[in-house]
Amino acid sequence: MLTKILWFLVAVLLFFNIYVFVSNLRMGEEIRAFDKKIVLLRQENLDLETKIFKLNSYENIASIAAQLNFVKKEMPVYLEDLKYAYKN
Amino acid sequence: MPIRTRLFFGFFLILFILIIFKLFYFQILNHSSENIIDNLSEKKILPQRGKIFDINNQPLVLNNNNYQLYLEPKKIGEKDDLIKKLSKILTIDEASLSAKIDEKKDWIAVGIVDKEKKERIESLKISGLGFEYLIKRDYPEASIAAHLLGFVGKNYQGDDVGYFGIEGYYDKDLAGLPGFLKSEKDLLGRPILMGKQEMIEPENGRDLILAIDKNIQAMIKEKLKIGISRYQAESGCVIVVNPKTMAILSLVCLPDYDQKKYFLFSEEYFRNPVISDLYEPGSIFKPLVMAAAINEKKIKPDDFLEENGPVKIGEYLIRTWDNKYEGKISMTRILQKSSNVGMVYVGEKLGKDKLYSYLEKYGFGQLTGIDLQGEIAGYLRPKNSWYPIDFSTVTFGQGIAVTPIQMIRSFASIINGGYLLRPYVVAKIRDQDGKEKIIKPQVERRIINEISSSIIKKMLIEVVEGGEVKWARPKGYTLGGKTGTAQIPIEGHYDPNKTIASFIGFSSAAPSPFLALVILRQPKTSPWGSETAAPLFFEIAKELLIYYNIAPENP
Repeated sequence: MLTKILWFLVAVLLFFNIYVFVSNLRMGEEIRAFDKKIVLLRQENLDLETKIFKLNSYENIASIAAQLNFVKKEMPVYLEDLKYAYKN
Repeated sequence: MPIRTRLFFGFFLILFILIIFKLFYFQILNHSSENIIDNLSEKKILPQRGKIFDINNQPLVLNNNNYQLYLEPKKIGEKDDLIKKLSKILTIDEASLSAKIDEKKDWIAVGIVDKEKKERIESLKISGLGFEYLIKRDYPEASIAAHLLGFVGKNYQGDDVGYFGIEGYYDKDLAGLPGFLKSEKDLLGRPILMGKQEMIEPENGRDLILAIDKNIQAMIKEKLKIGISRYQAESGCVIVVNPKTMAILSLVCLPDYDQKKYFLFSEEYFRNPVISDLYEPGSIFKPLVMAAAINEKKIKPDDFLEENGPVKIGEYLIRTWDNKYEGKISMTRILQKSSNVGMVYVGEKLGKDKLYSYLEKYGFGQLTGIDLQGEIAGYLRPKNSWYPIDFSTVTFGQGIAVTPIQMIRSFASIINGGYLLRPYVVAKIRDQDGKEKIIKPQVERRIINEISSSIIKKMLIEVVEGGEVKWARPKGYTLGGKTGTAQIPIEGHYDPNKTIASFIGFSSAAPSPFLALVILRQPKTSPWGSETAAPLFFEIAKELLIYYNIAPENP
């Protein structure tokens, strides 16, 4: 009877050991996949951040203006004599 | 015990003893770290370098994903095909790419590519090509402030290091601290959960928020570019500061360089002339001496001097710039017509000892402490090595070498109530948790009192309003300033044809006062500051007044 119980315990422990081992492997694999995903997300985040800021940059505006054939204004008009504006 | 059981136990006993011996060998007899960390992977996690923003949180320097494209020549198939395809994407000619490929080598770095190019190369499915991930600096506004920002290069160990400007000065803050990941892995490289796991998170570099305004910087760069071309100058610089705080609002020097391709430029392009070059300031120095004499109560603005001809100092004759003499002139008129003879009189009134002590107080020959890498202090010769002529010429800014930043700082002190401040570029430092450290203006000492400061300010306003050259000034605004034309000393004498033309001017209009120094080196259309640097200053001032939305005082 005692031998049977011992064998049963050994079998349970063996099964448990295999189970822990396999779940360990699976979890390790998941961690590796998540690590990879985190790296990719960080890179993507950096890419998006750069894109957002570039959209607002003078460089981008200048290149769009060139594409649209905008002409540079040679002499800007300033409101030099503001007396007229103040009268009204 | 049956013999089979004994044999069974004996077998395991021998195995057990062998394992003990092996462990004893590895841990005691042949102890080395390699044996222990065979399955312990240690990875350095690089921090992200801090970003740099302008005062409105608009980015000037960012980080971007890049990839080092490498080749393993032993693994490539058709070499000609590879060269043809790669040269198209990388825009390198086939001959130079072919010369790079040394088939004896195991690994060759081909170049750094962005994500888009990487994807295009990957789609070609060429064997023997690989990519290594890199983070590189990115400049959304290109080289809008190259001298100010500096660039990131490599040190001997191959690590990123900031050089010049902000990148150099704040390298430690920007670089951050690397993290480490130590983890036990199995043969397939998977982490062993029950094994040793240790992670030290990297600390990203701190972000810097500058006092610079991107819009002003872009406008000034454009104006300076036009100015240099219009006056056919060799180079030029414009610095704009808030005279009350000495916060640098804009700093542009041309010619500059492309920070992304810094390796294509020689080192002389990296020097920021504003902090690393010495020059004789010329007449823009006069208000400093005048302010000192007023502060010492040696003269008053309405005091008069008889300007009847050149003044003799030892064997030298000092003349006015146009060799014209007006007779009885006031102190204000001395500044208006930029009279060297008048300034010699002011210097004599002040006295040699006081004059020298004011030069020290203004900070000449000392570092200003600006937060940019590469500043030089210059040199103020010891007083006992000065000849009488030196005390005379220094009153009109010749015979003394200063950096433009020293000049603008000392000038700010005479119009801000007398305070000499430390100039600064970085207004805030932000860590990765978003905590901000605000950089406050730092007063070093007081040089002149409030009354003297307001007197000299009024005199400088009169210089602009009553000056002989009628500049295209923005109407309705009160601006003060002084022109300067300094000759360049070459081999012991001054070259009459080569000058440094400058103008230093200010607007005190609240809430955005500004002080700007314009320097043009060797302009060819005219050697005079009044005909080159001054008009450029007024163009810039006009734009600044509009940008700051300052209404005219006398509409």
